[in-house]
Amino acid sequence: MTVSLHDRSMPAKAMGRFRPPSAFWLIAPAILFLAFFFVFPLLKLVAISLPDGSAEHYRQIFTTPVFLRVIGETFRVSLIVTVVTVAIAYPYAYAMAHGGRAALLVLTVALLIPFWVSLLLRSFSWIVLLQNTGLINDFLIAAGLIDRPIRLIRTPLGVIIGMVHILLPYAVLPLYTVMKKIDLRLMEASSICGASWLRGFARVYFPLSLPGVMASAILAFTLALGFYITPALLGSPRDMMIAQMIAGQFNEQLNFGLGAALAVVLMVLTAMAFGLFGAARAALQMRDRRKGEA
Amino acid sequence: MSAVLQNPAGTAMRLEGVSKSYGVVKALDDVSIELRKGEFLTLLGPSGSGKTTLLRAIAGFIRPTAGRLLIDGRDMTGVPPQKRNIGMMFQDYALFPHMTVLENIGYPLETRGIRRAERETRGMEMLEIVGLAHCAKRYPKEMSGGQQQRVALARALVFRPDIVLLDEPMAALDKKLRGQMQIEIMHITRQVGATVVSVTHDQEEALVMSDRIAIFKDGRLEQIGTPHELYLQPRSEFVADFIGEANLLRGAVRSTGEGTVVEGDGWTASLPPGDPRSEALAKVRKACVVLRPERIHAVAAGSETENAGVGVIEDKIYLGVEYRLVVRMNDGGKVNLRSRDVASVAGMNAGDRIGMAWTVDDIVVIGA
Repeated sequence: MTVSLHDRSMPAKAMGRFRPPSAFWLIAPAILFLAFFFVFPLLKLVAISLPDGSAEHYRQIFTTPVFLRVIGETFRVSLIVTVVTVAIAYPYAYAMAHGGRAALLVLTVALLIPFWVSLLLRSFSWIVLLQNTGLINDFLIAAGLIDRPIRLIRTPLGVIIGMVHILLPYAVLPLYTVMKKIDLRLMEASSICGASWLRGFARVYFPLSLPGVMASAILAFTLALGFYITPALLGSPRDMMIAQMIAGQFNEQLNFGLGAALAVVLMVLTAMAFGLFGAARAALQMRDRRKGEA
Repeated sequence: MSAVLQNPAGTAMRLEGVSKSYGVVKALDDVSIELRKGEFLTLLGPSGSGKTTLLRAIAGFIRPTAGRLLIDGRDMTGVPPQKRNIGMMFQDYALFPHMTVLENIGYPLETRGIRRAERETRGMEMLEIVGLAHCAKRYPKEMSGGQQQRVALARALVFRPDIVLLDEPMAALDKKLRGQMQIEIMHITRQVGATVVSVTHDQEEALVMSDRIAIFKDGRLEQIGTPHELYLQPRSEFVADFIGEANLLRGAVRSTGEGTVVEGDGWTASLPPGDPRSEALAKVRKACVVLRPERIHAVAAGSETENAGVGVIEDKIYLGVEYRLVVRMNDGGKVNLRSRDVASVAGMNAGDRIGMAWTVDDIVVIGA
């Protein structure tokens, strides 16, 4: 990577005595920073999880039902959140990509405003909205749709609502990037070929937007796996996710070894999910290519 | 040839007073055209003349603000594109990048509920016709521009549409390929008996491919006719200038005992009495005379007759088969001549004063 960047820089002769620094030196600060503050602590974490080389903590994680249940719950919630987030992000990104300049401006600003508000504050705001005397329940009761408040806070539903809200911008942006490159003439071509809008969408637009769907889902899913504050504030202890459990081991149980092992498990599972998505995508491309050669 | 061509009678499409306004701008102004079955019609005009708007209105992507569109006798004005049975080749082809060539061509059949086996048979037949049978399993991006264009044409023809629309068919091709594809597209569409409406701003392309040409200017249909008619009888300076090369001479109209004369400083165009062109000029005082460069003969100064002019050669260019002369008239206007009479032109040089002669038949007058 660094070598190829260097090769592409201007010929040294043409530059005279003034040579640009090689790409390696430009990224050296970043590499040093990551080495000291990320790679080293990570290795340290792995070391802590294996006291005296014993895998005892890992054995404990995979034989204790409560740990397995929390890991399972983390994946279940993350999966639901991913599906819901991408489903909402898809039409939003479509409107951004094809709705004209005014729509793009409004939708982009609306999407980015939450980034200016801290995650903590946004999660607290959801408490105000979701609680029994919160805005949503007040509105539904006032509208006569329900008699008694629906329980939203301290339920998996509350957690999912909060997480979807926070992940939405991350899911929209990769979708938007792919969609804005799709030529809408293809939809015109589809309709003149005799296809309704729906068929054109299913056969032409959606397949072309799939790379965006994939990227958006990977991002949302991997981010969701590591959520900590939102489920802590909006969920009940029964809806605990793995990040909360790791924090518990460090802050309350003071069992650093077990906490570190849980963190490593989360990391490995995330990497596996990532790999799974990547493999699925590669398989799809392979199939297409083979179809091309046959 | 196909049955459609053996029985050319019948109207494929009728446009009745089609207009399209965007606010105060009239993109299309009261356009009426009748298209015969099996005909190749080209909409020709500069950019912004309304030709593309009309093509998109025929396709159904644009709804006219006034007028009617009838295809095969049925009113299609408000019908969406997918229900019109029209094929279209887009300027940049708009092939589906995630489908193979055969899948692309099969798509219009797929939307019509035709089963896979028959789609592939008919798709392959179409690929044979456009000469790409060996590329059926390729993806569009693996093909050259010319090949992509043939795929787009095959996709537009495969379902035997009532009308095929070509949007600037040569725009994405390099110059060398254009001439070849013009002939090829013409052959293919005739072979399958398609009725074609093509859009272009290239007059040469229009002349090569079309049975008839409709010339557009500022949203209006200026003139429609065969290439021959448009060349010989342009009804406006715009048409005269747009089709082929034209010298436009503006002069005063004078009636004499021996007919009508249009004259300027150093030239005269005389029409005999009773000539329809004379009658057309009866009520005007100024007119424009259109003379094609190959119809003007360079003669020695002083030998000119009643249909003649004088001027000074400004440039003399040898082009192998012919000479091209640029002659400056007394009023400063320039006239282009093309002469294959190499022997008589050879002695004339830049700076020489010469005469120009033409015959009564070469004169086209446009009332001004």
